[in-house]
Amino acid sequence: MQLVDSTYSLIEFADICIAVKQTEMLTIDQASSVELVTSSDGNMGYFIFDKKRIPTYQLSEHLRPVPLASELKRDDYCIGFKTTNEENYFSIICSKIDKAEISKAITKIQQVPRFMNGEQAVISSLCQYDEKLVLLTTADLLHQFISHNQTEEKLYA
Amino acid sequence: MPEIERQSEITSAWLLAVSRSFSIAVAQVVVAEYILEPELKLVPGSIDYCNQVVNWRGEFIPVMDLSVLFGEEALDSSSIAVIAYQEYQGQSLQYAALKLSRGVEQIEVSDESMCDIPEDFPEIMRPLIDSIFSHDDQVVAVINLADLCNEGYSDYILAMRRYQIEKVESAA
Repeated sequence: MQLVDSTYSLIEFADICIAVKQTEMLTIDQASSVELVTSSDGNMGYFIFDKKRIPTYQLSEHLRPVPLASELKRDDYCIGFKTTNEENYFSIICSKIDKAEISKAITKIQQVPRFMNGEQAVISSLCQYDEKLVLLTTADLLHQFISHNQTEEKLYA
Repeated sequence: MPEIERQSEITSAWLLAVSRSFSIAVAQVVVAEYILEPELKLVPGSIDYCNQVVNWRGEFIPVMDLSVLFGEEALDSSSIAVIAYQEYQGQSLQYAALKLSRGVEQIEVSDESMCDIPEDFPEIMRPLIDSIFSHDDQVVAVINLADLCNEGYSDYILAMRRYQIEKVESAA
């Protein structure tokens, strides 16, 4: 009997913990490797992966992009993702990353009730892991949500 | 023939202050637990009046702040009432929680206290009203909790908001 459904990466930032399947991740690197570019819109960040310059986002607890700090913390990480159609690459900054085997057999995974969904749902399920709330999402959902909320980033930049 | 005196039915209910200015009443059996200082967790991307959950008896249940629906300032997280509802007969009990602005109060409701919906009653609550009555000079609604916890209602809220935005944009 296969107990483990998937290996997830637990990604912590801004007091929340999201989980994305490891197969949807490109790479993990130190945040210090992010190239910062200052423009009229504020600081933009780019991460070089496979000769591609992919945008880097710092996200709030609401998963909305916030302006990048002018200096990224040494201990932070930058995680690269690609969408299923392989058309979009992006990366996010986090303070902690861990690995977890999340399985329906050993972890109670709950769907987010549909009435909780806003204009753009980003969290598909919830579970408790190591006594903390883990929010399950995918690279596709994250990318859609970040793109949808980028206007807000510009407004507050 | 002697006249039969009609007795007005009196029912006990819980009065839940779901915002600073508005209360709802629910049947006593509906409130599963009243919790002080609950540990609420944010679920990003959720609709603004229901974007938190609480771990209740080993399960995460949605927490609603109806004051956000009324356009009022969000309530703090000092107390919640866990409510039980069924979307259809025979369904196992579903649970959700409502943030409260003050403690729950037990009241008695009779047919005589029923009243009409006041004109200034929040438009967005009207589809949920089962009945309405006055209590201590305050209008209190009995709402359908299964409808409140239904995607049809959250879709209605989102559609109303989109309509308001479009109206403002077209007027500008």
